[in-house]
Amino acid sequence: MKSREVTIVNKMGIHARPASVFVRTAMKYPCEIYIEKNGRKFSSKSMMKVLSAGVKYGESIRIITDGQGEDEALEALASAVESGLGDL
Amino acid sequence: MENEMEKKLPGILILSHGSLCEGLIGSAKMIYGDFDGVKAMPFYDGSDIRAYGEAAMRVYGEMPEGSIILFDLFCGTPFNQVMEHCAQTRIYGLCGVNLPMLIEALNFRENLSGQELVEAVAQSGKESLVDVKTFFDFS
Repeated sequence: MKSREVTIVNKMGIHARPASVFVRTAMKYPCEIYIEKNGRKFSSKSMMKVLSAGVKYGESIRIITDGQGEDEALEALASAVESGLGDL
Repeated sequence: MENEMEKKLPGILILSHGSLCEGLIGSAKMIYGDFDGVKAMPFYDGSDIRAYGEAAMRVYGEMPEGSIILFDLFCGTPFNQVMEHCAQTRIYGLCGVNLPMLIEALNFRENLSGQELVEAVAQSGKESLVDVKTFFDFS
């Protein structure tokens, strides 16, 4: 299992479009992927789950990957979040 | 050997009274980006009911195995007409389509199809109904 903390750079937080980019990136990897915020874990392979985390600008989340391709998945997702999920 | 990259994703057929199905596709593209394999068939007042059901089954029949139908309304005309015409075809479908269900279907079809896809989308549909009072602290 791997994890990394990242900070949200999107001014509007993770709303529908960045959530969709995040989930589509997660769907490329077979491993389990979660985001953790304030001690609560949300599956990263469902947009409803990602949106329900209610992640706002400047907040930190922990991306957790577990299983096949966990290193690549973590790198890709952390990089996507840090670059604004296509929606800065 | 089949190339994973070339595997056929399950199709999604959306049936609705009026243009809801077309609107859902437009809204989903705004969020998800462009996609293929999703078809909308609006049913309008005065349309030939039987022809609509036959056409819906023809379109569904041309989609890959494990494709799903999303209906707007349980026991509405689009649903009833598909039921009338699906005797020879195993269909997978859900009633009560909304935007979260369509977006999740687009995500989930990467890994799921048929009944598994239906069940995952149904779960997301249930989770998409949120009483806004849970968002506020009224204490």
